[in-house]
Amino acid sequence: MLKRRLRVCLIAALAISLAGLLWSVSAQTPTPAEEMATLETPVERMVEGWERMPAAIEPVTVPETILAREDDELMEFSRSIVISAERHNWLLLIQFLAVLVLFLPVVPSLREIYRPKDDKPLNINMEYAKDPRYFDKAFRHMIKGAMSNEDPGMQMVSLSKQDRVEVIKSTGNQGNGEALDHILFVTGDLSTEASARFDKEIYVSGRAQIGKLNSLRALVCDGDVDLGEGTVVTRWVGSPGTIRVSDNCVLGVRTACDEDIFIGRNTFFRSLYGKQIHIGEGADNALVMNENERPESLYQKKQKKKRKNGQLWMPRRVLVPSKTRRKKDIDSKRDLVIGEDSHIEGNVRTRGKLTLNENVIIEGDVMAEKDIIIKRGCVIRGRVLSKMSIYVAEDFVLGAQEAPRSMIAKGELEIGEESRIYGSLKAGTELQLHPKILVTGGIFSEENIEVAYGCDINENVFAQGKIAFSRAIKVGRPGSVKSVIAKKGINIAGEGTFYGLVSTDGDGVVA
Amino acid sequence: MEVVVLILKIYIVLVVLIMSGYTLRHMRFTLSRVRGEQRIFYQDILDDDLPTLAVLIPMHNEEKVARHVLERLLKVEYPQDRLEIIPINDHSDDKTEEILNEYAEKYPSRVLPLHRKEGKRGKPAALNDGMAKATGEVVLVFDADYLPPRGILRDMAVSFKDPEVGAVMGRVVPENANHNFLTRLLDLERTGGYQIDQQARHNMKLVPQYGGTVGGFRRQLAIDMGGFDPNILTEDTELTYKLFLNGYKVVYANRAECYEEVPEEWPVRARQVQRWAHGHTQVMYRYFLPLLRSRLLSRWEKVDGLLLLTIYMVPIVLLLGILDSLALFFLGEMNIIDSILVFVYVAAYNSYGNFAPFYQIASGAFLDGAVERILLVPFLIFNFFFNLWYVANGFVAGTLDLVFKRGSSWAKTPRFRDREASV
Repeated sequence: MLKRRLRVCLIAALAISLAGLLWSVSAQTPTPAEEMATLETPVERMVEGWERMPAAIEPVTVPETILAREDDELMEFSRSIVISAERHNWLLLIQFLAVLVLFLPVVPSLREIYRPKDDKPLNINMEYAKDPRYFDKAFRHMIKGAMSNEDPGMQMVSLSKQDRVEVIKSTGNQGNGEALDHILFVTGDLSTEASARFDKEIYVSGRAQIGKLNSLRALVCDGDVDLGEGTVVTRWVGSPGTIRVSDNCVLGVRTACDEDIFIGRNTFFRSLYGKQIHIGEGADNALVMNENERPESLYQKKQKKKRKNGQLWMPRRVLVPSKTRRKKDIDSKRDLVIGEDSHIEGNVRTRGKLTLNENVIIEGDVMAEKDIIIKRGCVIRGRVLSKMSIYVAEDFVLGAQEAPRSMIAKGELEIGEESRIYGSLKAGTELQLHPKILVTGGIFSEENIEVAYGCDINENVFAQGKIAFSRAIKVGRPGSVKSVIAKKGINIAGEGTFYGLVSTDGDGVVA
Repeated sequence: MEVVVLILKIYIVLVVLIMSGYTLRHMRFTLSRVRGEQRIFYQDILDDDLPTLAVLIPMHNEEKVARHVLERLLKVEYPQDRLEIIPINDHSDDKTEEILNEYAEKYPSRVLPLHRKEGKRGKPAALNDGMAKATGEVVLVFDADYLPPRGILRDMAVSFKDPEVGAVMGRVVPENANHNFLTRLLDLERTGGYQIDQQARHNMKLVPQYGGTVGGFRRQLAIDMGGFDPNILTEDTELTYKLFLNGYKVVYANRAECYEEVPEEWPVRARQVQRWAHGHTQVMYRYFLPLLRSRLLSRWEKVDGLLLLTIYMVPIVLLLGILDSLALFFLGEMNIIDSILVFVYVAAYNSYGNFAPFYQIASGAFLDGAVERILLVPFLIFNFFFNLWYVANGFVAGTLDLVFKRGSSWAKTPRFRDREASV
């Protein structure tokens, strides 16, 4: 019904345009100039021209002196009027052409309505479910399904295109330094010589022992995998067993297994997935902390900057005296300082900056519209929220084991040494954890995260920027899968243990 | 008379400024989505300890579609001990109750229907009762005509690991896009609205909107904030603003895609648009000032929040602007600013303002790889005028609610799926 109406409207519009076009063209036959040429005198011509002049053109008063004359000047005047009339016809023509042009964009639209090429619903993969070992499982499934038999020799197999596949039953060394430009299907174990190069995928039904300085496109293996020193993988390595990566390797877009992954030093990666990922000797075997492993405090940096710019000043503030015991909420419109050893059983809210001096305990939520400064040994049992930054000194406790809480800063968030966070942390910009902090929840940042020596994070670490881990870091718990995800890169300075996934769109580096 | 003319002129300038604001907004969103840096979403997080979920499906006379959504939800990938499916039979007088009981009998530990036969009818009231029955930490809501894919619950639920996230919104894709001319236009609208608009707001850390379906929120938080007001017709928009005003965020998951059924008839679409505009207007009156006064939102969040809040006011502003310009024309008072400037503005507005949403839609379709359907973009002008009228009606209704302090009743969108779900 609608299509019919649409068709009628468009045909009518086109017909009107066409009619207009024909009219404007016919208006020129004979042309005004030709018609006027048949007239006798210049005065007759002038009067005719005057009558033809459309109303839209500015009326011209014909001077008396001209009316009285029949000479060349008069001829010129009448010609100018004729030209105006002709121009008017051209204007009409242009107008109708413009109307016609208006309909041009609709022509392909009509084609798409009547002969649709793209009217199907957008495709959604209804069966999609996340699988970190998707690449190797999909390849294994594809090649096993495509192989007619597993007899040794060369076969042509239809994968995404026609591919050559060499089947070998081998426990011996493969590769002689020359590039192998076909898929290798190994029914047994595989070990390769140093500097071997495989430009196509390898499937191994046993174990795979890759020699030094090999170059692989992709490796799927049903047993354990050892990658020799300096091996470069351009796409992925997948196995249901264990993967051991020696020093100086470059791993491809994903290295995934169902058991543990051991990563050597100076390794580059994009995504690692395993039950347990051991960096170096693992977090438990890290050497003691060096003094130079304490990061420079975000708060100190900010203070230095303010001092440099002469911005340090003491605002008007409300002071809650030391050792105050209060069982009510505190709501302040100015900067608020709570004296040391105070105990507040209620919520604390301020429109200004909030400072908690040493050993303050707050049994409620804390909210400030400016920075929150928390000094050594404080305890907050509720949710903490600041529209600006939060700086926390050592030995701080947030929430409780049985009642986890979160701390959210729209700006920076810094947690001091040996603090215990029962809950999660979120920063709008930089997030910094000083050494030996326990976080039972996850940590999230809209920019970068810096985690110092010996921190233990039980849940996920997620950053829109980069993540820098120092040594002796643990993320996750044994027996559960957690994730470390950073958009712009992950740097792991030394020994660490990660349970589950470590992934970045940028560069992942194990120093 | 001079004062009247002055007021008319000021109004024209105001309309130009408002439209310019929206023009820039649409252009900025499109640029952010097409050329800007994309924020990553949480769906790549692998986590064994996903939150407990309650999936609520409000249903009023949904016999045509009830089985489809339940079948899909029974196939989703989510730990079964952490999932409860609660279809809410909201005063149905068709076979909905029968169907739900059949599924409850078949899957007693998984499908837990709630039959509402008393109290106010409507989605907000149904959700309040659903939340009271649910035990999950997170509530995910699907309308009855939706067809959730296998991995969607996990992709959305994992975002609540971030303590700042109060609600999540997924992407809606029409499954009956090829049914007729209207559904094809609505398919384009959805593309622009989600692929560009929502994703850009997520990228730019503005105010992505919780859309009330294919989305979810923290159950206890919603209860603590007072639940849903049964008199508000767009409970989703209200929740969005409540969350931002309480220091939480709404995030958008572009990959959490779900099929829906869009209206196949123009009168049904008219009622739907009018209801949205009506509800949105109610929310606008309630949250305009609190949003302005809030100290928890950034400056740009406030700007975007206000533009989103007043978006259904634009058609009526525009309509009045057109009438105003006619009045000024016949009064011979159109010489507001230099005519060349007016010409430049009108040309720019028609190129990038009025059609900026269309530009946005075309860019969205391009990103989706659906290139041929971009050819239909000129026909969106029909939708523009159609929406102009019904949105203006909705706005007036919302305003009258405020003036006369009257309640509003929920108008259900009829279903068209007489066939088996095509996807």
